[in-house]
Amino acid sequence: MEFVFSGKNPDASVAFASFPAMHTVLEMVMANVPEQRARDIAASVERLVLDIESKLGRHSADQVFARINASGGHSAVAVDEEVYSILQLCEVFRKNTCGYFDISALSPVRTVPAYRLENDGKKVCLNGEDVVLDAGGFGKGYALDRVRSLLVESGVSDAMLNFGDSSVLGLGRHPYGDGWRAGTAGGGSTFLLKDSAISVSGLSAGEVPHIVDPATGEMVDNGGPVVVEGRSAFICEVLSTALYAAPREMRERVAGRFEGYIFKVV
Amino acid sequence: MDRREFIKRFGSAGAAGLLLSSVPWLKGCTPAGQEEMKGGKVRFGIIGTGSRGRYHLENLLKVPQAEVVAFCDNYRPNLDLALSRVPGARCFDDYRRLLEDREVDAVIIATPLHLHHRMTLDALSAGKNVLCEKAMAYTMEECLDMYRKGRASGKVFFVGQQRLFDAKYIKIMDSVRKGELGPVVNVRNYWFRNNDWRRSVPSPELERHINWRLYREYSRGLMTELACHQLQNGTWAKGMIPQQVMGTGSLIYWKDGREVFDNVCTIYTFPDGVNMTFESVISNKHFGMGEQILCKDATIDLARGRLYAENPKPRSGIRQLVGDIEKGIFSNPAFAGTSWSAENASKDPGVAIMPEAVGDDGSLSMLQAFCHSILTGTQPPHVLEEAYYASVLCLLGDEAILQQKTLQFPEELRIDYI
Repeated sequence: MEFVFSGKNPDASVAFASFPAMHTVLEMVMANVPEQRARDIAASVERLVLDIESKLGRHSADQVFARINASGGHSAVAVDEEVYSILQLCEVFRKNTCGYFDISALSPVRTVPAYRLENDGKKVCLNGEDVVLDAGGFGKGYALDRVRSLLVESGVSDAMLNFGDSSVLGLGRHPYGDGWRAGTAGGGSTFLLKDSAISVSGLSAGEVPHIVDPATGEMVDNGGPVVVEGRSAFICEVLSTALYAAPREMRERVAGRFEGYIFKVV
Repeated sequence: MDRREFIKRFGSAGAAGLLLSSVPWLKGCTPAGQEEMKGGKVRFGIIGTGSRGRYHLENLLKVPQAEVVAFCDNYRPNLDLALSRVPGARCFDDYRRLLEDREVDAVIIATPLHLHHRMTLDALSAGKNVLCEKAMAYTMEECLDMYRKGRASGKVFFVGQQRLFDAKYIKIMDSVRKGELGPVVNVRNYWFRNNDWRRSVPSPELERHINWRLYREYSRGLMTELACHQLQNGTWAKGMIPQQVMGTGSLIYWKDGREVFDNVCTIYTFPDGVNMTFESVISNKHFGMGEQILCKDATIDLARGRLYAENPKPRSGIRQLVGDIEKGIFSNPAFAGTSWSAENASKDPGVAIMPEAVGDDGSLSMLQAFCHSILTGTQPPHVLEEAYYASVLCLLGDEAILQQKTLQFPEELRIDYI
């Protein structure tokens, strides 16, 4: 982990921490937290996020999503309470987004629903041999919400979190502002985050499509990226993924089901 | 090495001066080395005044300790071109006459490959210091002969492997050898051009004389003319020599009577299993020239002078908040966008290996070092040894192509170096 602390400003100290996770980098800035305390909190955040990655990852055999995918639906896989809850929520989100958020979108054969949950023993069973569950459309946002809770429990009131540029969360406020500002890389849009988050989904110039339309299984190229702003980083990421995959005429309808969340095409 | 150290070491200027002073064979380029040479003069004769010989001439004219006093070439137009730059120089059409000239301290041999062995031995026997163009010789056995006789002569003997004197190569090889970028996992070399590799010929009987690179009698083609430079990267980076080589070559486009291949592809394998490739095509130039060392933690692009961390920093403005808060500023960092991922390495601009401008590709420094060695009477370490292995490896690669076999490095050609 990279950790930087500055007490140069006697009125506002600042700590910066950064570590790789989920194939990208999580960065965090904490204001007015003493150095050793900030260092300890950053270490706790890293442990938490890597623990989440160990559950939501699908590229290493020991990760939980990888184990579920490897089961091929031939047997139910026991999961912990957290993964079970996540899978429950993902199914709710799938239905609420008219199917445009679907963690099984990468599966070569579409299966709806892609999995079933067995409350007795907290198990998940895939509904098809080829079903692939992927947390790419919500994992970073989910992790940021968990980090926010950890920070609050640790007494941190002002912090900015950036997970791979696409999921950003502002807690409290900047020492010299009434929130945290986050502008889009290409310019044009600025968001003032006050205990809120944004998520960006889509394609930047030159990027290869990587979001799948669950209905067709095709990679989507629906124009400029979609930014969703709202309280939960998890929901922001779910919704931005869904809105980018959805046809433009469907976006208002889908977004309307998520009160308190607004979207913008940038 | 973490990201900050990475940037500090490679992304900042000012390292070149320190670096030069730490490399024994570059002492002549340092103020201390210049001081040692003060008042000294080396009188040069250039044997072979074609394009490469005249390139060395232009560099020699920039070296205060060098005085060019003689030229030799049996092709008069080239001799006249050299003479126009140093009108008072003595001219010869037989190199043996130049070697008899007692006013010549050192010779630069820039003749066709097949002549290097004989001319170098004769020059050393005549008591001259020698800088011979690469590749060292036409055969591996001749290379060994030259190496041994050069070492035994007590004279200074350089081979024109100018990368050894190029500051960015030295800097990066130092880091590689120290393991700062992780172990070397692959070395890729390629040289692509799109031309016939011919020189204009005023009359047909001069074809083989002028276009000697195209004929087997005089040249080993792309392997000796191009690969020789690049194969040195692997031995230099890894501190060991490959144990085997396989390769293939053919004539696919320039079927104009030439006898050397116009495309080759070779794979050298080191004892630890790491591969080094050399590939050359002269009927497509899109990818140009490349020399890449792939380490576990970084990729070195020597041709472009850039270094790419395996886990580059994402494009993010959040770090900027540290400076903002220090200064009491509430700015608008613009960083939010689609997901940055470590796999997007191709978008990473990397850092310059040597941020300060270094115009010399090593050729000028090599001549300065050569003068310093002569004036101080010291053969610098590594220079001849690295050049020897580079030449042997390119010749072994050519043998592998010709024999269509995987060849082991001949133990009898191993020298007391690595």
